Amino acid sequence: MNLKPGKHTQATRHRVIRIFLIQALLIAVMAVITLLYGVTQAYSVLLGGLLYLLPNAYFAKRLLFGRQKSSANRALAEMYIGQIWKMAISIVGFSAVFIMVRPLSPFSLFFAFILLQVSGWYLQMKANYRFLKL
Amino acid sequence: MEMALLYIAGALMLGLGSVGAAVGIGILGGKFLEGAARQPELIPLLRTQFFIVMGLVDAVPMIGVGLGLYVLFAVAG
Repeated sequence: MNLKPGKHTQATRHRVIRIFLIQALLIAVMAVITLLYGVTQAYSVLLGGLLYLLPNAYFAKRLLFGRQKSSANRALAEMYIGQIWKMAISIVGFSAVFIMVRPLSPFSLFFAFILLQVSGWYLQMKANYRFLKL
Repeated sequence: MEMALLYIAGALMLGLGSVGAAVGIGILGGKFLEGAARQPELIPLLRTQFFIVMGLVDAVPMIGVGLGLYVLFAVAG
Protein backbone atom coordinates (compact mmCIF):
# COMPACT_ATOMS: atom_id res chain seq x y z
CA MET A 1 0.00 0.00 0.00
CA ASN A 2 1.48 3.32 -1.07
CA LEU A 3 0.67 6.19 1.22
CA LYS A 4 1.50 9.78 0.41
CA PRO A 5 3.81 11.39 3.00
CA GLY A 6 1.14 13.81 4.24
CA LYS A 7 -1.44 11.11 4.63
CA HIS A 8 0.97 8.80 6.35
CA THR A 9 2.12 11.48 8.79
CA GLN A 10 -1.45 12.33 9.69
CA ALA A 11 -2.31 8.69 10.29
CA THR A 12 0.75 8.35 12.52
CA ARG A 13 -0.23 11.43 14.51
CA HIS A 14 -3.70 10.05 15.17
CA ARG A 15 -2.25 6.71 16.19
CA VAL A 16 0.24 8.27 18.58
CA ILE A 17 -2.42 10.46 20.20
CA ARG A 18 -4.66 7.41 20.63
CA ILE A 19 -1.83 5.46 22.26
CA PHE A 20 -1.07 8.28 24.70
CA LEU A 21 -4.76 8.54 25.60
CA ILE A 22 -4.95 4.80 26.25
CA GLN A 23 -1.86 5.00 28.45
CA ALA A 24 -3.24 7.98 30.37
CA LEU A 25 -6.46 6.05 30.94
CA LEU A 26 -4.48 3.00 32.06
CA ILE A 27 -2.55 5.04 34.60
CA ALA A 28 -5.73 6.70 35.90
CA VAL A 29 -7.35 3.28 36.41
CA MET A 30 -4.21 2.00 38.14
CA ALA A 31 -4.17 5.04 40.43
CA VAL A 32 -7.79 4.44 41.42
CA ILE A 33 -7.05 0.77 42.12
CA THR A 34 -3.95 1.55 44.20
CA LEU A 35 -5.96 4.15 46.13
CA LEU A 36 -7.41 1.14 47.94
CA TYR A 37 -3.93 0.43 49.32
CA GLY A 38 -3.12 3.99 50.27
CA VAL A 39 -2.87 7.57 49.07
CA THR A 40 0.94 7.43 48.85
CA GLN A 41 0.78 4.47 46.48
CA ALA A 42 -1.87 6.21 44.37
CA TYR A 43 0.07 9.42 43.82
CA SER A 44 3.27 7.46 43.29
CA VAL A 45 1.54 5.62 40.45
CA LEU A 46 0.37 8.94 39.02
CA LEU A 47 3.89 10.37 39.26
CA GLY A 48 5.34 7.28 37.54
CA GLY A 49 2.83 7.71 34.73
CA LEU A 50 3.60 11.40 34.44
CA LEU A 51 7.33 10.69 34.31
CA TYR A 52 6.70 8.44 31.33
CA LEU A 53 4.07 10.49 29.53
CA LEU A 54 5.60 13.98 29.71
CA PRO A 55 8.97 13.24 28.03
CA ASN A 56 7.40 10.92 25.48
CA ALA A 57 4.68 13.42 24.61
CA TYR A 58 7.36 16.08 24.13
CA PHE A 59 9.38 13.75 21.90
CA ALA A 60 6.34 12.81 19.84
CA LYS A 61 5.34 16.45 19.49
CA ARG A 62 8.80 17.43 18.34
CA LEU A 63 9.16 14.50 15.95
CA LEU A 64 5.71 14.11 14.47
CA PHE A 65 3.82 17.33 15.09
CA GLY A 66 6.51 19.89 14.34
CA ARG A 67 7.51 21.19 10.94
CA GLN A 68 8.46 18.19 8.84
CA LYS A 69 12.04 18.25 7.64
CA SER A 70 12.48 17.22 4.03
CA SER A 71 16.12 16.16 4.07
CA ALA A 72 17.30 13.05 5.90
CA ASN A 73 20.05 14.89 7.75
CA ARG A 74 17.70 17.53 9.11
CA ALA A 75 15.13 14.89 10.09
CA LEU A 76 17.77 12.85 11.92
CA ALA A 77 19.17 15.93 13.68
CA GLU A 78 15.64 16.83 14.80
CA MET A 79 15.15 13.29 16.16
CA TYR A 80 18.42 13.34 18.08
CA ILE A 81 17.70 16.77 19.55
CA GLY A 82 14.24 15.56 20.55
CA GLN A 83 15.73 12.46 22.16
CA ILE A 84 18.27 14.50 24.13
CA TRP A 85 15.51 16.77 25.43
CA LYS A 86 13.39 13.73 26.28
CA MET A 87 16.21 12.29 28.38
CA ALA A 88 16.84 15.65 30.01
CA ILE A 89 13.16 16.02 30.94
CA SER A 90 13.14 12.47 32.34
CA ILE A 91 16.26 13.04 34.44
CA VAL A 92 15.01 16.38 35.80
CA GLY A 93 11.59 14.82 36.50
CA PHE A 94 12.99 11.80 38.33
CA SER A 95 15.39 13.95 40.34
CA ALA A 96 12.66 16.42 41.28
CA VAL A 97 10.32 13.62 42.37
CA PHE A 98 12.94 11.84 44.46
CA ILE A 99 14.14 15.05 46.11
CA MET A 100 10.83 16.81 46.70
CA VAL A 101 8.15 14.14 47.15
CA ARG A 102 8.14 12.55 50.60
CA PRO A 103 6.72 10.04 51.40
CA LEU A 104 6.99 8.12 48.16
CA SER A 105 6.30 4.53 47.23
CA PRO A 106 9.14 3.64 44.82
CA PHE A 107 7.65 0.25 44.04
CA SER A 108 4.40 1.84 42.80
CA LEU A 109 6.27 4.53 40.87
CA PHE A 110 8.55 2.13 39.03
CA PHE A 111 5.77 -0.38 38.52
CA ALA A 112 3.69 2.28 36.76
CA PHE A 113 6.69 3.52 34.78
CA ILE A 114 7.68 0.04 33.60
CA LEU A 115 4.09 -0.92 32.87
CA LEU A 116 3.72 2.13 30.63
CA GLN A 117 6.97 1.34 28.83
CA VAL A 118 5.81 -2.21 28.13
CA SER A 119 2.31 -1.08 27.14
CA GLY A 120 3.97 1.47 24.83
CA TRP A 121 5.88 -1.27 22.99
CA TYR A 122 2.78 -3.41 22.70
CA LEU A 123 0.44 -0.63 21.58
CA GLN A 124 2.90 0.85 19.09
CA MET A 125 3.52 -2.49 17.43
CA LYS A 126 -0.13 -3.48 17.49
CA ALA A 127 -1.26 -0.13 16.07
CA ASN A 128 1.38 -0.04 13.36
CA TYR A 129 0.74 -3.01 11.12
CA ARG A 130 3.41 -1.87 8.62
CA PHE A 131 6.03 -2.23 11.35
CA LEU A 132 5.11 -5.86 11.89
CA LYS A 133 5.41 -6.52 8.16
CA LEU A 134 8.98 -5.20 7.94
CA MET B 1 31.91 2.86 52.87
CA GLU B 2 28.26 1.94 52.48
CA MET B 3 27.48 5.37 51.04
CA ALA B 4 30.38 5.10 48.61
CA LEU B 5 29.05 1.77 47.36
CA LEU B 6 25.62 3.31 46.85
CA TYR B 7 27.08 6.14 44.81
CA ILE B 8 29.10 3.67 42.74
CA ALA B 9 25.98 1.56 42.17
CA GLY B 10 23.98 4.62 41.05
CA ALA B 11 26.77 5.80 38.78
CA LEU B 12 27.10 2.34 37.20
CA MET B 13 23.37 2.18 36.52
CA LEU B 14 23.40 5.60 34.88
CA GLY B 15 26.64 5.04 32.97
CA LEU B 16 26.00 1.55 31.63
CA GLY B 17 22.43 2.52 30.72
CA SER B 18 23.80 5.47 28.75
CA VAL B 19 26.30 3.25 26.92
CA GLY B 20 23.53 0.86 25.86
CA ALA B 21 21.27 3.68 24.72
CA ALA B 22 24.11 5.38 22.86
CA VAL B 23 25.03 2.23 20.92
CA GLY B 24 21.39 1.45 20.09
CA ILE B 25 20.47 4.96 19.03
CA GLY B 26 23.69 5.31 17.03
CA ILE B 27 22.94 2.16 15.04
CA LEU B 28 19.34 3.27 14.61
CA GLY B 29 20.38 6.67 13.26
CA GLY B 30 22.87 5.10 10.88
CA LYS B 31 20.27 2.72 9.50
CA PHE B 32 17.80 5.60 9.15
CA LEU B 33 20.31 7.54 7.06
CA GLU B 34 21.04 4.47 4.94
CA GLY B 35 17.35 3.91 4.27
CA ALA B 36 16.74 7.59 3.58
CA ALA B 37 19.68 7.76 1.18
CA ARG B 38 18.38 4.78 -0.76
CA GLN B 39 14.78 5.94 -0.91
CA PRO B 40 14.31 9.59 0.10
CA GLU B 41 10.57 9.42 -0.61
CA LEU B 42 10.23 7.02 2.33
CA ILE B 43 11.51 9.51 4.93
CA PRO B 44 8.06 10.03 6.55
CA LEU B 45 7.58 6.26 6.88
CA LEU B 46 11.12 5.80 8.19
CA ARG B 47 10.54 8.59 10.72
CA THR B 48 7.56 6.68 12.10
CA GLN B 49 9.56 3.47 12.34
CA PHE B 50 12.39 5.41 13.97
CA PHE B 51 9.94 6.74 16.57
CA ILE B 52 8.73 3.22 17.40
CA VAL B 53 12.17 1.62 17.58
CA MET B 54 13.51 4.56 19.60
CA GLY B 55 10.82 3.73 22.16
CA LEU B 56 12.06 0.14 22.25
CA VAL B 57 15.74 1.06 22.45
CA ASP B 58 15.59 3.68 25.17
CA ALA B 59 13.01 2.02 27.44
CA VAL B 60 15.39 -0.15 29.44
CA PRO B 61 18.10 2.55 29.77
CA MET B 62 15.43 4.99 31.00
CA ILE B 63 14.35 2.50 33.65
CA GLY B 64 18.03 2.18 34.61
CA VAL B 65 18.36 5.95 34.81
CA GLY B 66 15.29 6.13 37.02
CA LEU B 67 16.59 3.45 39.36
CA GLY B 68 20.04 5.06 39.42
CA LEU B 69 18.57 8.42 40.36
CA TYR B 70 16.46 6.74 43.02
CA VAL B 71 19.59 5.19 44.53
CA LEU B 72 21.46 8.49 44.35
CA PHE B 73 18.78 10.81 45.69
CA ALA B 74 16.41 8.72 47.80
CA VAL B 75 18.54 5.86 49.16
CA ALA B 76 21.93 7.53 49.49
CA GLY B 77 20.73 11.12 49.87
